[in-house]
Amino acid sequence: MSSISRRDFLKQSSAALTTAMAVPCIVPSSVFGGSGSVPPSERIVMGGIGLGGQGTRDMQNFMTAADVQFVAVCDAAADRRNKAKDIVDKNYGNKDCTAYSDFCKLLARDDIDAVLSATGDRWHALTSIYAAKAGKDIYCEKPMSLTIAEGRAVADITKRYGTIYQCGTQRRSMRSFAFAVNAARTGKLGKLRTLHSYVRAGQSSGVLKPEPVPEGFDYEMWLGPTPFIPYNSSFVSHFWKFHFDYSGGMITDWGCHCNDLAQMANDSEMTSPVEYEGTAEYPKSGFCNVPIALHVEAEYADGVKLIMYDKKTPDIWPNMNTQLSVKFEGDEGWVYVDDGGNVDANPKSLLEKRKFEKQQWTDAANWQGHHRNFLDCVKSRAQTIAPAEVAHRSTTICHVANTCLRLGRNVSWNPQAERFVNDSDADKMISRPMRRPWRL
Amino acid sequence: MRNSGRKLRYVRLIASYLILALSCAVFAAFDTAQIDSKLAAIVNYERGMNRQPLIAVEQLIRDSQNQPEQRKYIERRLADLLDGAKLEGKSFICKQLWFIGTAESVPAVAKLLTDEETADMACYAIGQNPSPEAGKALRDALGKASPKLQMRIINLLGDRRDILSVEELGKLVFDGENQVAEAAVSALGKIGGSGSMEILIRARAEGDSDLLFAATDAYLRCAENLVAGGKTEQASVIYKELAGKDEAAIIRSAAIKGLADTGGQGAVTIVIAALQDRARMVRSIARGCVRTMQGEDVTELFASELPGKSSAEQVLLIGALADRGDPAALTVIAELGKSEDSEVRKAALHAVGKLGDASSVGFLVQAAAGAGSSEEKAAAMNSLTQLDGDGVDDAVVKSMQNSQAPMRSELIQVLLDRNAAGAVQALLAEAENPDSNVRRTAFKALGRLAGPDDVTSLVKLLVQMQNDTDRREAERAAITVSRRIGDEDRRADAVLTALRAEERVSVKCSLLRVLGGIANGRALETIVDASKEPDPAVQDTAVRALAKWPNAAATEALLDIYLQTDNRTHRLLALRGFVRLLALPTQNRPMQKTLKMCRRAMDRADSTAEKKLVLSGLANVGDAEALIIVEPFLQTEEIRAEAAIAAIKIAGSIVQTDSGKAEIAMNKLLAVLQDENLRRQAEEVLRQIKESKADIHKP
Repeated sequence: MSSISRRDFLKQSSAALTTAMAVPCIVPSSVFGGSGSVPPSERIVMGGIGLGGQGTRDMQNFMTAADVQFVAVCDAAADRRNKAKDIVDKNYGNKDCTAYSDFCKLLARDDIDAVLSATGDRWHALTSIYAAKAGKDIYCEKPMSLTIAEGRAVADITKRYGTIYQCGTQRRSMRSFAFAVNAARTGKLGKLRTLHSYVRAGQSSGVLKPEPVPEGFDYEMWLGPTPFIPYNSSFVSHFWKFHFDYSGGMITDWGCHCNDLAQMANDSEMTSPVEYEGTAEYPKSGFCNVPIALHVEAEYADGVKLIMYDKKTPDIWPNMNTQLSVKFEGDEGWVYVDDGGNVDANPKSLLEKRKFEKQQWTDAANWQGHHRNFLDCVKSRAQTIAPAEVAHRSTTICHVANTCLRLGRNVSWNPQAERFVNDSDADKMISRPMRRPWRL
Repeated sequence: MRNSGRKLRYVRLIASYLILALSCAVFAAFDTAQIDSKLAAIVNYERGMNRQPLIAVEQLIRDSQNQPEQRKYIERRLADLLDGAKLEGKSFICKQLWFIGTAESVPAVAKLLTDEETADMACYAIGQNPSPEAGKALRDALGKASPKLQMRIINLLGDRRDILSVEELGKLVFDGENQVAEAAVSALGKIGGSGSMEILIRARAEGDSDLLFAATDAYLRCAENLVAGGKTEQASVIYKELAGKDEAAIIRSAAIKGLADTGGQGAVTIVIAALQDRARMVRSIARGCVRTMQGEDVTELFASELPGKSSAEQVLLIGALADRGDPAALTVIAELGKSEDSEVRKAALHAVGKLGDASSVGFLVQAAAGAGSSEEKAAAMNSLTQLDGDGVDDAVVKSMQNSQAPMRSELIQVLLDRNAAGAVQALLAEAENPDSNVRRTAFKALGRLAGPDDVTSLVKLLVQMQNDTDRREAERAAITVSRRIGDEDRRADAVLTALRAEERVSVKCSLLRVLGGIANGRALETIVDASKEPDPAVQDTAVRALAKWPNAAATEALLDIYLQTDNRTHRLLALRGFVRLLALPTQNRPMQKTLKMCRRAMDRADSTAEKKLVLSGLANVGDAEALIIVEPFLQTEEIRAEAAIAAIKIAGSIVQTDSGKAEIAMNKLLAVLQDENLRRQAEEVLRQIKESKADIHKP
């Protein structure tokens, strides 16, 4: 990584956009009633940034669409990017995919229409911003931001450039979750009262000692805008998710799914709760510093409650498994869904019109709707099911909840101004400076 | 004069006492020595060391939430420690100052701003500090910092919207290194205001060509700031300037979108022109604007663009106009439903569903009837389902009544999908249609749409049916609709009345099946009686209905049949039904009664298969006495496994209520059981018993 690369990218992408336009002149496959064989000129050319487990899953799913062609992959780790390139090459039976360690070089390519960003949380906002500036549409994994300010910047820039943005909150497009959301939105539960969100607790670890950076791993690029910390393999592979400098912990990791579904169910996607109270327990030693136990109760202006749990109790949850789960409760009933495809409701008659098979969240078929929606919107320029502004509002709930827990007291949030109410300490947590040379 | 001097001394004395009292109060509120000790522990912190001292300080800061003086003290002490701390300690302190920092800590942090090694962490500490001192420290550092650090500081000044730095940033735009200049224009875009805009205009005109994109992006941001401030006219000027042909496509796209969003004068004309732009990106963005743009006659203007476009463009534009939801585009779009291009026709048919009303029904039905492909037909039918507005259901009914058989069925399906409750009378008529498909679809729709008042009509139709195939669909509808009757006791009334008057066996059987589906108390009585009737068909129907009974009310009746019948089929059906119902909630049946029934069933079982079935039913009886019934069968090898499974399940369900008996049973089981899997399950029950006993003995 270098700042030169970033600058080169801006020059190249700007120049490229003047001459060759990136947006394909194609019609949505849904209009044609399916994909089938698609001429090269009508394919959406994509590049993937950050290709670990989730990114690879996304990419492989995208590649099942006949109207998608992956031509480039990027990862700071040589083994990952080479593996990703092999997957793409094998898929197309050629050696055409180019592997990059610097995403700016990928974005500078004028033949790429859209990018998949499945990096760690620290990079989601910046890769989206740079992609938007390069005229690329974006499918970005969740959580879409590390701070509220990052989310606002992404929402603003995608609006500025008319970028098609889909947040990887794919449960929105899964039929089981959509069923629950629909039950709430269509009044089948009566007036909504409480939205339950099972986000699970964070993890702790021992002290992570510095280790040499492996050859072929661009660690500076991997860290990107976040504070420097010496390399440690456990940190890079896993524990970054449980340190506040690099992630928001489970509140943002699962919360941005569960709270997002709650927002959708409550038809409050362009706002958020206004009052938050909660308790958390933090690791007493070791590297991790996000909550290992938590409970947050938030309340919308109209009195609807959104409760985030780290564990399930039988009085609330009809299924005590440890899968990501939501339950929406109204005056006249409730509906429950989890990642295992389990659905329950009261009254049971709510389940009568269910028209879907039980599917695990990992089933590929369960993902394709979300990816398809993105591809169709890239073509039609309609808004996706999880656009930046909506994702930003949902993710904001997670960040505000985290702020409440870190401050150890109640906070009030003004969703219009996107500031805390008379709370300068909390306001400071809306944003964090980035490491050189990165900026929002 | 003397008097006033005395007064002054008096005031000073009181003030001194007050300060002393306040100081005592302050210092009494928290233990400074303890705080100092905790803070001192972080000074020598280095990466890889135990983080406990850091965690203690994080907790200390959280605990000082509502104690401003303590918080202030901590901030002051952290600032004091900053200079002497090791690098990681410095970094940690800066992360705390990120959210507790005030003017108090600015001088200490400012010293780190110009040092390459500490600048990032210092920025972390000072970036969100709202005090004017923080802004000043950053501006002061700007002049002393290296270009690399300047970029960092500039970014912060931009994020802080620091209007006082505009002039300095302006100098760096033209005199600074490339990357510094780029950071400066970006910051000016965030800060906005006339001063920033002037610099950006100049940078776009005179600046380094490399800087052009960054400066233009910043300029666009200024326009957004103007819109947010209600100055849309000024913003429109910027957007129009940037929508010019000489700009890069992405900039023109953004500008056109900005214009469309703000609805500035001439915006529609510009968006329409953009629909034909040579650049695909611009055309694409313009189509996006068609979806959202506000204003009078906008829809008509966009719709008038449709005829001249290529087929591919037409498809996309039709989709965009459909998303606008403005019926003003309907006429032009409906015309394209006759296009020679099938994709255009499909897009138009989809759009009519979104934009049309009752008057569009005829068009869509006609299009469906004459569709060139199944996809086209699906588009028309889907649109019939989607159409919104008064009178649509009636119009579909009318079309249905005027259609021939295949289309008639499909339009009934449309009514069903539309949830057209007002179509029930028409559907009741269709249930007598000569075409069997129409009849079946009509009953399917009636099952969903009819209400309690329609039950009598449905039963009447059912009785009139001439064959069993038709009757099955009618039965399903009658059951579903009967269940919608609020008073459970009345749900079977219409069927019972019909049954009393019925002589034909096939119809009687049909009505009995409906009663089995309704499954209330009166239905049960009637079916039990029917199970004793001499007619074999009636008897068979009744036994089968009981065997499928959805609740435990039929348990006893099924046992009676099992005990008394000579018919082997009925005997097996009854036993299976009985065993199934044992697993359902008992509806207040006393346990002793359940146990007695199980004993009777077991006594009657005359084959291994039947005994296995009874054992599987006993497994659901959560009582210690059930174990006694099961136990003897553990000695019989051929059914030992089933008996063991039952015993384990029963014991597992009485762990909390009768752990002693459960324990004895499991130990007995383990004495005779060889199967490893079952042994593990029995041992698990014993473990739960042990755990439950331990819980009881907890203080």
